[in-house]
Amino acid sequence: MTHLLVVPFERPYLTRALVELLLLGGLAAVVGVFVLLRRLAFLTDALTHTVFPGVVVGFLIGGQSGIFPGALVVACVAAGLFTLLAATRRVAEDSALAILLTGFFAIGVVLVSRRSSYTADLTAFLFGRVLTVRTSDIVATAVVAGIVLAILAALRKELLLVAFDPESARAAGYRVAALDLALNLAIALVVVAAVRAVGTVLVIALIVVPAAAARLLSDRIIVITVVAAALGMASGWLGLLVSYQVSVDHGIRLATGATVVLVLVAAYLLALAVSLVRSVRLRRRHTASADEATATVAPPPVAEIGVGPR
Amino acid sequence: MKRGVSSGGGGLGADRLLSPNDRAHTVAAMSSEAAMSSDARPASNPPPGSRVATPRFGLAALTEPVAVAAAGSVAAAGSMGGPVAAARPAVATEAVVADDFSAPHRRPTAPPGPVWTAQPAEAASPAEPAAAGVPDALVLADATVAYGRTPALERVNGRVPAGRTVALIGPNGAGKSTLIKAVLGLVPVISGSVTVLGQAPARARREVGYVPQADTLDADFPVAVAQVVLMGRYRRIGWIRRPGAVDRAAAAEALAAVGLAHRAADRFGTLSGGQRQRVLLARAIAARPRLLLLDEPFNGVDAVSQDALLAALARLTSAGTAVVISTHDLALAHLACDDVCLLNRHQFAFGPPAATLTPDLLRATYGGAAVELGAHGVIVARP
Repeated sequence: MTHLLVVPFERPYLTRALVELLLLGGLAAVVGVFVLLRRLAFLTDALTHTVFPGVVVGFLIGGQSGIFPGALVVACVAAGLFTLLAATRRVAEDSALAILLTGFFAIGVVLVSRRSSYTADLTAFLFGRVLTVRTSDIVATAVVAGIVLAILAALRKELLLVAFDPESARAAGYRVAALDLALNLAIALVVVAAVRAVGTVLVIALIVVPAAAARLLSDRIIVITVVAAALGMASGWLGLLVSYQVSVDHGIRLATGATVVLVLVAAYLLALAVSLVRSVRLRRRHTASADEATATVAPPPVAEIGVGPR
Repeated sequence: MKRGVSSGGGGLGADRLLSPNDRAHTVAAMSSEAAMSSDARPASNPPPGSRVATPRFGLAALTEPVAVAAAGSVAAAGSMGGPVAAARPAVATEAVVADDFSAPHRRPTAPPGPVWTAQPAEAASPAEPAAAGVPDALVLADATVAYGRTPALERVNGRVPAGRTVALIGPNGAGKSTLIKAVLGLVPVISGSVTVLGQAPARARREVGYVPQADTLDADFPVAVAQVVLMGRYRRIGWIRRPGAVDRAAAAEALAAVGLAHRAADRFGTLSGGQRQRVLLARAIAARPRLLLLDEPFNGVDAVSQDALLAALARLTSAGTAVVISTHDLALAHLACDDVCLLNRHQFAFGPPAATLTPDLLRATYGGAAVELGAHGVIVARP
């Protein structure tokens, strides 16, 4: 069994894919914790869609190596634009944002459709090709990871305050829009870094799902962050392994990026089941103790339970 | 407000609120309500200066030492129960009552300030020297505040000296929250001026504390009580740096001041509404503000928490912090505040409660929502 888990990675292209997925899985999950806290899942989704035309234009101008800069420019512009939108209106309920993101997405599709290799290119941009990742892509991802983690580490206090109580943050003199911009740029950078490997559509899962699953298992942000990162990395590894083994052993081709996402979703469902079982048990224990004791018994604080399996 | 806690408590605010004939009945109602409450905090960890054994009535902390004598009879009355037990104290009900309180002997040391009403002739000049040389924490001089172009609040005058408490009173939409935001520099002042600790509002923010309504915050947010209180120190800690031992000590002290030290490790959302409000006050206290602004802190707050909030506020004012509270609770304003500012789009009065919480002024402020109660009071139905 251990043989099965390790041997595939003796092939260099699989090793590169593994390193890239581990980096992305961990990075996206950590950013995802802030996305979860600030409730930015919708905005992150919009960002991934708007990056798409940037990817296409970059590719049309500079080929494979044009993708990263193209995506980077559009992502930064989009992050600024969305921050501005969010500062002036209620973005979560805003149809303007929906129009904007589908419009951008359509521009990307129209541009790609003019090429002869339309289907193959579209698939690559939307869903990524982790098995063709080059060493330079890994380096780019590592640099992005360094920048993003530095931003988040430096601003974690302030980002926490803004996520929890933006009004009080404003009252204390913080520039909430500037902090939101920093977070949106961090998200945009992660999306850009993930384009080659998992594509613009699936990256949203890498960001949102690990943090959501970890949130089900803990009430403490530090624990949530560690669990989410571990979950993101483990899912990258497991997804790659499963897609490889199935194609080698059974001749069934599974898209690696999508397999990673499915593993993540399975992990989320598992976490959901664990949290449900736990809350039922908690309630039963609580009613039992309330029966025997006459005084009011406070329910055991959830924070003390710690992290469940995985 | 200063006297309450240092007196050692034991007093009951009710004797200030009610005529002697009514006292026993109402007190009985309060005590039995206290006994029924399931929210009683563990007796092992009372906040400093709190009275564990006395019936909980929010205003107890604010009374003069004379009131101690009443505690015995109160306890006795409390055990009687009886048909009145189901009644709730006036302060806690939806409709709030402003009685014609025994105003003359309330707060004998508080100098009766001027009453500024809406009439321009009586509007006080902001240049008027502060009473007894106490520096002003907040001065409003004909301030008009606007979102965009339409004024939300016009021509407000008033002054809050250090260590004093002012209640902002008015119906929903009257502009109470807008005024608080203007003092924080978050809403522009389009004419007149708002001066906070001698500076423009936006420049004084670091020394101004703000306590939002607890129920506006996400109860699912994964943050511990201690972490929330520590947020009050973030401005002092500065960018990038981690909270140090001094910050943790200040946060722990602030949490103890609202009587919730034993809940430090619990998730914020697991606390009751009143307890969350106390945590938010602790967060503001941890920042050591010179001016504290509270937006409806007593809405939906149980009596234990109201008591704890008032005790903590009394301690703050005795240390020189000026406090501005927006509230619907006229009785509370009467007992806990030195001055009252009556607002409804513009200012109707500013001055000591005895002079401002009068049937005429309240009727003017609340319009149709005010109902007169005989010769002694007004009921203001919440719109």
